[in-house]
Amino acid sequence: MSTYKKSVAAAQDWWFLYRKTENVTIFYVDLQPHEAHETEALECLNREEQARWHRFRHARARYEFSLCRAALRSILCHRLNCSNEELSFGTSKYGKPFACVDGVTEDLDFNVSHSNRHGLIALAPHGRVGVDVEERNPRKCLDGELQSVFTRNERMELGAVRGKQKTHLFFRLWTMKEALLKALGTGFSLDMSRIEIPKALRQGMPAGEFRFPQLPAVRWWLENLDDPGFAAAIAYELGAAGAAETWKIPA
Amino acid sequence: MSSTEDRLMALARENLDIGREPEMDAEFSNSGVSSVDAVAFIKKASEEFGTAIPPEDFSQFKTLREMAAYLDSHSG
Repeated sequence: MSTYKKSVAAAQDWWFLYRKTENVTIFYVDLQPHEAHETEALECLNREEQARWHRFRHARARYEFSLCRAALRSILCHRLNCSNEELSFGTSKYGKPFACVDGVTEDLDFNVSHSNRHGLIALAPHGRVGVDVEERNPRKCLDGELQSVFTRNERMELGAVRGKQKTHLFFRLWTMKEALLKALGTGFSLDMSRIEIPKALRQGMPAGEFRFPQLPAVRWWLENLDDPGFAAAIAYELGAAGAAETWKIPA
Repeated sequence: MSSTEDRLMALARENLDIGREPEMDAEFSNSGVSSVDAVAFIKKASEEFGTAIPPEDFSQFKTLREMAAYLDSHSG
């Protein structure tokens, strides 16, 4: 594996613009198996990223990481007006990555999530952003130990539905919670059961404002990005007053 | 392997679908385990060992071996 000299812009695109508003831009990363894409992606990664690729124990995990990281590099190089060689990444105390150009940390916040065949990359020019995507694979743990990540109200609502409806509600709640934790930058060190998804969002409203009880002064915008193929959500910090009011909620 | 490591490995075999034999020193983040399955596994281990693992401690272990050491040092 080689060169790291390759221009990311020359890669065959396996990602595309998924959604754009004044506050956030979301790209979809197509992670359907494609051998040529992984080869192409690997050539875009720097030495540390290639070493990390080798450390993944599972071929699928290597594949998801390489394609998402190469897509992220391309998107950030374009947005930050830098070359692939100038771009590097650091991580915060809780593991949230940030971008550096020539060793200098950039303000632009971004977040990446992938689950089997689907990846999402979110960029926010102002404030923090978190995104989560999950394929809705039924698991026995949905009825077991994972109930403890939900609040009493959420558990009651999950207990009232069965089968596919339950799987959908579980992943709708999970992706919104994980997107919020990723936006905040704490990861799972913040107890998920201390975050209650607002009732309107639990009951199907696609988006709404959110405040952490532990951080009431900061407003976040939380949106469900559910798709027939996956569950997903995005959360981002609202900076300027009135930002939420300018968001056009889909009918 | 210690008794805790043995039990944790058995629990991982049973609960973590990673497509191969779990390894004591492989980092969870490099194992292809989803966040849903990772949190479920930690909760399951907490129940099986009778040891509370608060979320703020999740970052203290990155491998099964480190998790076994955490459980040993926080048991009883």
